[in-house]
Amino acid sequence: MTNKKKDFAFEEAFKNLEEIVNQLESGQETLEKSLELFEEGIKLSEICRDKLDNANQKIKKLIKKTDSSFELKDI
Amino acid sequence: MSDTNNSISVSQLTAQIKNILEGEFDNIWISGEISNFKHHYSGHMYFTLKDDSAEIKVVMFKGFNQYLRFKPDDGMQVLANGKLSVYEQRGQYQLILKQLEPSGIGTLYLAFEALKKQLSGEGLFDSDRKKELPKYPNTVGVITSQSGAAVQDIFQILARRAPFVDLVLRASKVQGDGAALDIVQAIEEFNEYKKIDVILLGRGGGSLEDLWPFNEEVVARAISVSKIPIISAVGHETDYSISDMVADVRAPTPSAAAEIVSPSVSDIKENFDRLEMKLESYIKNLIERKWQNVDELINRHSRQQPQKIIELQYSEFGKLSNRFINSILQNQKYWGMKLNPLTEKLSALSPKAILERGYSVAFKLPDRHIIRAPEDIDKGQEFELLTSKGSIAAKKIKDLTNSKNNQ
Repeated sequence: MTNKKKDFAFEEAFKNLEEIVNQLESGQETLEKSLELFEEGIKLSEICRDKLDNANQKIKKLIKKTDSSFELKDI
Repeated sequence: MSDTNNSISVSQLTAQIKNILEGEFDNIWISGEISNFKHHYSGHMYFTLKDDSAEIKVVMFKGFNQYLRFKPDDGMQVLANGKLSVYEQRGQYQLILKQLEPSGIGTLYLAFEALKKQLSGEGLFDSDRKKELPKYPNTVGVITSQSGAAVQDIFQILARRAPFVDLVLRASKVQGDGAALDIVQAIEEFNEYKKIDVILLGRGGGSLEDLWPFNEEVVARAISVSKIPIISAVGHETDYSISDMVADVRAPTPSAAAEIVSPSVSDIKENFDRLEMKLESYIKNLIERKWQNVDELINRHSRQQPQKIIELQYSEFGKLSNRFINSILQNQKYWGMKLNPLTEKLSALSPKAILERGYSVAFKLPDRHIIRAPEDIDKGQEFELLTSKGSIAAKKIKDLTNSKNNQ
């Protein structure tokens, strides 16, 4: 299935975002690094929200062809 | 005349009979025909089970008969499960039933119990075999009948709750001849296809015979070897199938399975809200703290070395706060409103505000690095001089001072 969404997983996004928050909260980072992390965090969050708001659910049917390959058909 | 010492009382004999019979027949399956059926107003059922040459009295109490899937009646061939009970006061024995099934289905029940015992013995139901479901599946594979109510329920619920999840249906027979093998094939095909995060296997309610494919050993084995986690949702809440027991998660109904399989949009947004709030408050504090630092620096040095201050502000903080403002502007949908007072504060510190106070900044070309010392740029080289209203092309003529004699 060619689907851009597959490059992106909420689980991973959450993990990254949580890591960013933890890293910021550790207080070890320089100002520059902190702002970088912050930017990365809001970018991540925005991408995720965008995915949620503009999700376009695909509903397909799995067909196994005679040559053993798979095909996704509209229902 | 016999010795009374060798005799026992009626009560003693009956107690022994009770012990022997109840001990021997405490869980038996018996087949026969119903006669003299009475459903007492108390809710208990009383009848006789008989065959060609014998009969036995039977009672099925309300607590058990309320779950019957059929209405027992005289002449019906049944398979009954229960225990023998001796009623001492009357010297009678009767069967107390726990389960009762019409004969054809009764054999299914036996098969169900036998398979359950076997698979349980093999450890197929063990909790340490259960795979964890993905928290945020991208693609859910659905195995059910394309024409059934279950598929509609599942699709509807996921369209509402989790439109970010893609659905792939592998239509399968879910009852009758060939259904079990079709289900097995469907599970195998999803595993071959691979691009499925979790499988939802099930069907809506029906008779025990309708649900039977989900109690077949081949289906149980296919579920147990699936690499992809499987949620089983067969029939109604009260139906338990072998498939439910082998699957990684059992859902009471297909609709419930659709709720379990993915968090909803609002669940996920709540999580983001929480993390964003943390990010926001942390960075707000950080910026304010740094802003105070810069304030102090300005106060300490402003009289002696104004040119150092502008460099300091430009390079260390101005640049960063500008980036900060930009990142907020770019994400205005979520951040602009919340952080407005902060951005104003930062704007006051931006290089632009400083330029407006009459300072200029010199940039080396073409990389636009800030010129911080005379030797940063060669004699004759062009550079850019940025003022608050625009830029000037300039050229270095000579050094008036340099870093060394300026120290």
